[in-house]
Amino acid sequence: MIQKASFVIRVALRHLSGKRRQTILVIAGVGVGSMVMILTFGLAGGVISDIKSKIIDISPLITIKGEKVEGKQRLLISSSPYASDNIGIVSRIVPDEKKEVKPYTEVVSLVDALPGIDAVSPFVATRGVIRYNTLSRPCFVKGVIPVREAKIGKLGQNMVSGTLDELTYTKNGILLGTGLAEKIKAGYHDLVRFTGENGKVYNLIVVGTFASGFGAVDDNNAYINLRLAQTINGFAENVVSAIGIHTTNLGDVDRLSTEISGLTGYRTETWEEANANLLSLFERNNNITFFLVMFVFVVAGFGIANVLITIVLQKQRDIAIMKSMGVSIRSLEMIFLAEGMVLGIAGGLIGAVAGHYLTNLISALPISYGPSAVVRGNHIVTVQKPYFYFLTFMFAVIVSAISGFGPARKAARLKPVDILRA
Amino acid sequence: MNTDPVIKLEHVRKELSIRNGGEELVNTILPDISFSIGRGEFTAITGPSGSGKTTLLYLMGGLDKPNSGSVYLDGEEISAMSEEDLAEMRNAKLGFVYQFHFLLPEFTALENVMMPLLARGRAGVGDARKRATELLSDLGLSDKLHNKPNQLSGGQQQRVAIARALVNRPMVLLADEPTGNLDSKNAEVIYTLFSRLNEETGQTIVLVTHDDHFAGETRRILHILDGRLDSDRKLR
Ligand SMILES: Nc1ncnc2c1ncn2[C@@H]1O[C@H](COP(=O)(O)OP(=O)(O)OP(=O)(O)O)[C@@H](O)[C@H]1O
Ligand SMILES: [Mg+2]
Repeated sequence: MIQKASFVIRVALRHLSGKRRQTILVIAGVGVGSMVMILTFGLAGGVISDIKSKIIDISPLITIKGEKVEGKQRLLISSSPYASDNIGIVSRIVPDEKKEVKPYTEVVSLVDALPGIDAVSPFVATRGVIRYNTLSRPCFVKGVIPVREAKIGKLGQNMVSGTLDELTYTKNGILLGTGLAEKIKAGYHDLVRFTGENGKVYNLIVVGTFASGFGAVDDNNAYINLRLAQTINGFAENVVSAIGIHTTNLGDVDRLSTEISGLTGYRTETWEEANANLLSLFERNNNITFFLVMFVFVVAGFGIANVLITIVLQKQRDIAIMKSMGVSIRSLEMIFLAEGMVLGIAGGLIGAVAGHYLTNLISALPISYGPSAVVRGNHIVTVQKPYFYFLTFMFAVIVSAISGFGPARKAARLKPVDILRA
Repeated sequence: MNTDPVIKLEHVRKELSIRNGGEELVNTILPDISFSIGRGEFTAITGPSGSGKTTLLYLMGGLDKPNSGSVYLDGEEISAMSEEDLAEMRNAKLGFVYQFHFLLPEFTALENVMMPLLARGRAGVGDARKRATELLSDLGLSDKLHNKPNQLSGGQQQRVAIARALVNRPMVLLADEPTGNLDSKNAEVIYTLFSRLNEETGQTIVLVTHDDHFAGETRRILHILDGRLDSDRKLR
């Protein structure tokens, strides 16, 4: 048995080392196939994960909307420990109510006390027209408490000029998205004029600019202090339009969202619900990419199989000779199975390493996205997960093994003369 | 001499077909042939080119199967055996020398000869190497042990193939024109080896040859004409 195995391995290795150039070519072929598979995986996974991480970077994971859920108002007052018992109730949103959360400080302290909550940031959303010299642009403005807002997303890290702190101590300060700043040609410490929905004009100082990576956000959004936004909207001091929340774990978002809604009586929305349109667009895009990955697999598989099958067919005569001297059918099959596996393993390993470096290389390349891009960035985002490598490697080995084994099995079962006489 | 038949053919019919476009042309190579070969016999099969000698030898070695009739080797009907049983039988009882030597290109002369011993673990690597070296030396190839087939002349390749057929000490040696590529001096080496094997160990040998001189060295000549047994002469 061991002797037989060592015979099989001897013959297989000799076939491979005897035709060195062919062997190297096949390994390279399997390697390229595997490399392309890993790269395709990495790029496909990168698109959606880039979108998700950018959404998480700029927006709250849960937002308490200024809309009451019917039958829950009293819970706010009683804040009963059994509050979450009501989660199962199908909630109906009360229509025609003004979009506001009040008194927001109570809601904030209620949510702040929940375990698993990282940050709570009340805000007031408003809009208006911003003007610098002769240039003006309509924009969305979010009134925030900068120290609280900083913990929600990566606004702090996204600052291109100025700081969030400066907004805190500049009552009439404003942070502009980079795109918005460019459009009105305003820069750091320029004095801009903001016309609110109430028709009043406010003189504001640009205390910084930020780049979130989302074109639409950077072109249209600005931040001011909460108090100023309340004034513009005519809100009382204890009123905000909504509250943004950040949880410690991404996995807790859905659970905490329902819990907070039950606890406060306000409708809540998770980041996935809020960005459902964008995400579904990219999910759909991902399905297409998945089919492309499958296609690449099939093409790579055919390439690998093609070369290996050709090799075995060239060896048909040798199979017949070995069989006529008494080598068993099983051994013949094992010889070519082993050859296929050696080629698959070698090619798969080389492809995995090459794929890893190629993916890294591609994500390191500086790429500039056009101004119309939905998502902006300075490089292509890729993802590498162990199972990409596992799947690719297994695929390369299995396809190679089958391509070696299949034709050998067929040849080994023929009468030797059928091959030798042909 | 023990004349118990070791090979027996009974009403063997062999057809080969060739495809010509859509139609299949069936050639009857051996219409109906019967004979037997005794244990320890040294037999030559002669006949003109295309008369069916190689076809006959393939059937005797179980490398091919008849369309009808039976072939027996050592009492077993090999024409009814499965491919796997045939492979095992060949390894145990048969040495075959092809008309076109058919060596394995990736292996050296020595490794080619060792292979039948290693294929089924019949011998360890050391013993196999020793036996193969001996045989190759007997055939005048002691300085070519590590040459690959493409580094050997046609005649040298033929001798390696003969060594490979003998390495298992087969019950029956079937050889298709084993001296076809050899000069008279080397052909003489083969005659001598075969005669010695036959006389000293009682090795059964069936060989196909065009060489009347070689045929005359054997004990029996089966002459084939158009797939029929034309004559069966016992010598000496
Ligand atoms: N694969 C094949 N298909 C069809 N006919 C074949 C095939 N191989 C051989 N033949 C025919 O079978 C006949 C016998 O061939 P065989 O090889 O047995 O002759 P042979 O006696 O060994 O000749 P030679 O002395 O030239 O080797 C020939 O007429 C040949 O044309
Ligand atoms: Mg012939």
